[in-house]
Amino acid sequence: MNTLRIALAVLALLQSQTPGAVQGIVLKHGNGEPIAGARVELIRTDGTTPQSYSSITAPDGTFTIQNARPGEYRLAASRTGYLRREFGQRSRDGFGLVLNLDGSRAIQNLDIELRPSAAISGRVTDIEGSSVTGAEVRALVPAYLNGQRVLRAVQSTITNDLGEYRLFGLPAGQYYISAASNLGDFPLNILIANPSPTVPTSNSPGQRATFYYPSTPDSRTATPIDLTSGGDFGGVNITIVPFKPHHIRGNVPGGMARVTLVSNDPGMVPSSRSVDASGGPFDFANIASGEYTLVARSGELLGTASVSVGDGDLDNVTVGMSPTVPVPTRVSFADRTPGEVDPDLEGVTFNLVADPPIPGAEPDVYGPFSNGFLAFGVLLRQDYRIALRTGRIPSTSARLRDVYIKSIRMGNRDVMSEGLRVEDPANMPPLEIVLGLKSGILSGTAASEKQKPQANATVVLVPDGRRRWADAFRTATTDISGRFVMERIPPGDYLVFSWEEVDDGAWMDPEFVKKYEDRGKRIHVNEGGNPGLDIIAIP
Amino acid sequence: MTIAGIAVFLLLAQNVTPQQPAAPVAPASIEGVVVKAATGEFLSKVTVAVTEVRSSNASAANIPFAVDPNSPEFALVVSSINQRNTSPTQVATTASDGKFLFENLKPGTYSIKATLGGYSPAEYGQRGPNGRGMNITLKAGQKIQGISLTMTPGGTILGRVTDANGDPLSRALIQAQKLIYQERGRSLVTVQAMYTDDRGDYRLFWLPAGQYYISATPSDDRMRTMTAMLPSPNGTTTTVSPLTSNTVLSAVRDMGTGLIYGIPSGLKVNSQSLSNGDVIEEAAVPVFYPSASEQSTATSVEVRPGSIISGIDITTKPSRVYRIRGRIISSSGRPISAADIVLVPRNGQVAAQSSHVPQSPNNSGFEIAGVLPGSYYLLVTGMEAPGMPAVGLASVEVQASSVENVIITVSPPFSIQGHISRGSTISTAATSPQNYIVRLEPKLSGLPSPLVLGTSLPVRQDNFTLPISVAADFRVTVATPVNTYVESIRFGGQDVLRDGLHIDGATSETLEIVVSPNAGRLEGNVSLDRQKFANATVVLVPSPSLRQQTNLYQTTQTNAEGHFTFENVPPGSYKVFAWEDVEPLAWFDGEFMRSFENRGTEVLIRESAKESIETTLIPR
Repeated sequence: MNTLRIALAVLALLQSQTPGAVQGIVLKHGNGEPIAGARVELIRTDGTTPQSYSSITAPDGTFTIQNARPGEYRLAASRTGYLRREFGQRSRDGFGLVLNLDGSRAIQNLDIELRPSAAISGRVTDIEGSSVTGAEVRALVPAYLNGQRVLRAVQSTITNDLGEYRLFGLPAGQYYISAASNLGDFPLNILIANPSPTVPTSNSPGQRATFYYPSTPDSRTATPIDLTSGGDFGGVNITIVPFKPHHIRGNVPGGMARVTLVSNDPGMVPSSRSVDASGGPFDFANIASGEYTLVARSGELLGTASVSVGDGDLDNVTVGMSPTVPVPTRVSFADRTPGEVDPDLEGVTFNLVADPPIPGAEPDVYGPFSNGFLAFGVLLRQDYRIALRTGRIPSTSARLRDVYIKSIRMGNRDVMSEGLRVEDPANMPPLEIVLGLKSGILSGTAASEKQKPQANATVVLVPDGRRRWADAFRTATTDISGRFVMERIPPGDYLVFSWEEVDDGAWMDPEFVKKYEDRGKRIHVNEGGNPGLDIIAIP
Repeated sequence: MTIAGIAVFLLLAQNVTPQQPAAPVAPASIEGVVVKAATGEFLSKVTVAVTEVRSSNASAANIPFAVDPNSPEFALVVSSINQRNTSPTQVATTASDGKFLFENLKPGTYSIKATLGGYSPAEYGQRGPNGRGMNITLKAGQKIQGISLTMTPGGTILGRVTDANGDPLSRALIQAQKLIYQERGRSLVTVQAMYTDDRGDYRLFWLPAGQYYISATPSDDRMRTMTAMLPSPNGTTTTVSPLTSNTVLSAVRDMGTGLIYGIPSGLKVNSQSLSNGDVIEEAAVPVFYPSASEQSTATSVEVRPGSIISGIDITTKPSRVYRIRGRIISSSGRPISAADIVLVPRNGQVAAQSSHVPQSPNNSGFEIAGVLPGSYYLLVTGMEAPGMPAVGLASVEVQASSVENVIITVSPPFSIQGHISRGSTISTAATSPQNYIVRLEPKLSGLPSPLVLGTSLPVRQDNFTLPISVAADFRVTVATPVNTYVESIRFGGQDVLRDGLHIDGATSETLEIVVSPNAGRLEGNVSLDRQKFANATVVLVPSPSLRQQTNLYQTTQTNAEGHFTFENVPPGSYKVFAWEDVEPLAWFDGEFMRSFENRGTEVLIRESAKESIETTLIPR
């Protein structure tokens, strides 16, 4: 293998150095065999021009693309049977490295490794065993969003007249397959690939009944498919039952509330329906059987109720709301005395989020007065976390540029690691939040186990020894020489990870991180500190 | 209170006012069965809907002004408005014996429609897959039995798509397209669209019987979603539309170079580096089964009801594309600023669209890339100065190389005078200014919309001025008030009704339009083997020399007694055709009519006279 690569490198040197030409080779991932007949394409990064430049790889896997006008491009290779891959791509649906063509010199040695694509196929039937045509079948992968496990759709298709479907062009991994019968016309848009991990596919609760392989309406009891690279997994048959629409009716004592209905099924990702229950009663129609949460909000009042819809309508559901309890809080900067008037305090805002988050509920936003006084409104016996709304602070003051939460204490309780929870409002010590002003910087390189610098790799900072809330993570991407810089890191203990290949956001899932816990590097970031770091990327 | 509640309340209130209690109305019923065509087997799980037809929902007052009450489109607009306004009175689902029963129906007129996935919808009284249904009139207490609805199953087409190297082509867009008749020619529309899987295989299903052209288009690797067009689960025909066609162009500006592209929508120009070092420009275009670049050279696939046709394999190949470069000059010698260029394929289907390719702002030069070989018009609209538009038209042939130095001359628009006179026999009551619409349509086929170069001018006075964008040949139609017709249109020595309007440039000639009130009427009967034939499609076709005047055609259905009537028929000679089942608008197509020409009945319509004829049905 090494001899082959050296020989190819020599070959590359000997190739004519046509100005502006882009040259490289396409290989099979794993054994490094050349792939002939692959289509390699230069695509403008701004995507506005319809012009592309391409070539087909020769029998030895090499390619030369000529005549490309100067500009910024990405290079993609594809061949039926393999997953499309860009040069420098590091995740299943992500983008590759940007190449700058200036027309004066050739860019060479661009190698792209292709992995075989896999397929899942099967048939969708009803309880009588007849084919269901026009059902939307989706391939879903587990993901982690906002502190919740969700299922993200990465591909969809429609069953034909025999009830058959085929999902293909899939990377290896764990999948859940769902089938939903249509309520009217066939869905017209078929999803080929979902590039964004943080945008869930909206599947409004109650619109149509979704069933997961083999035949359960609740994704939590579904059977996952472990798909190997290049595999062809057939016989994934799903049975669906006709959608019986039900009602959820009830009222909110005290009237005038906004009631939101959210499904408890992680396969049904946060998308809710709201009804203004002015005058008290509400009625959600077209609801499929399953488990749901009702959230009622009215100004400062909030309440939730869990309901289970079976075979019939659900009536007389009461969602009681409780007033929130004010939590007196004092906010101060680390370099001042608490209680001292500081106008910069008014530039600070916090998010108050229930932990685990209430589905469909937006975080509450609070900001202190210039004397640091603030009162969070919380429900009794409910866990919360407090985060800084970074990036949305209008930086009136340069002082606030690197602000971070240094500590949150309520009496003896370390709220940053244990969360905020009020049991007894009468005997509640005040909440003290201290903000730090100087953060740290982390820089370094990421290299493979064989010491090759990893370009376009993801480096992740995971908080160590305290609650891993989403906003405490930091990420960076390495440049073409494997170097990265991370700025504005709140001082503290962290674990640093880097992966050669990882799905965007995967590190937010505690289960995922646990698998690699011992391969992370422990570091401590000080205020104004600037440690350098070399990290080995996990393959 | 809900709207339904209020309606019930009002109904009840109405019933309270009479002094005597109203007599109860005996309920009527309809019973029938749904069977499969050809085999006669009973069909279960069919959704059958009975809908009350309220004929006065739409009148001429509600129809948009532009639709001529005498035109065939008018009837279609009326019936679609009727359908939109009513929801089914009752809906039933057939069991395994195929039977349906509607009870407790009020007396009235009803239509019955059956739908089932995999079958073409069937209406009671429908003569064939193309026909419209007939209504049933129910009297109080009437029990109708033995109604039969026949449903025709769709067919399936399967195949595999490979690229020029023999590799299976994954995610290629497959379109099942049909040629439909339209007023000005035939048009290719997409009935179904799907895509191939990783083995290159595709399956088109539930296709209504007919002739199809199957095309495959490679897709863009970067696509995240694809649009499919599939048959509706309840079998109703979805609206068909041209999904992608190599005649649909869009303009994109290359941000890097400022170059403007007029290229087929959804496709991209690919600069391909070949192994011998050459670089060529290509685009992925639809390829028709088995491997044709145009529908005219493709092989159609016939789908018979319930049939499965496999092996419809297609080999795709990209098409070379070229560039058109040129300049725009003004006839007056002034420089042109801000011109819009429209590239229009000359042999394009009627439904073709094109859009605008702005030229480089610096000078009057332009460049269009990604042009497929073919014949085109370049239509240029520019400004000689603010408020001074100018238009030009040029023909371009693109064969196997780029075309350079195309000079397009634009000139300012001009106008001609027009005059409407009414025949002296029109009563004085009718001499007040009426609303006419004078419409000019350029004869160039393939233009996106006749109004791009044409004119549509409402006229209220006897004398009017007609704006003309560019010297060309036009068809002239005039929409006239009810009970009048266009007797003649002359321009200089030209008989415009017969030969069209030919304009070379600004002129002092006047377009003389004579309108007459003395339209005739035609009525008649359709029979076959001495039996009267209900619900036949009857078409009134003008004499061969006037077949371009599409507004002279009329169409209707015979009633239950086989009788039909045509009103407002301009005097002249016509032929009447009566079909059991005919594709809509096929009668506009010369080739179609050739095979039926001697099966129509000739009739001469005289001024203000009523004619009666008997005609024989053309059966399926």
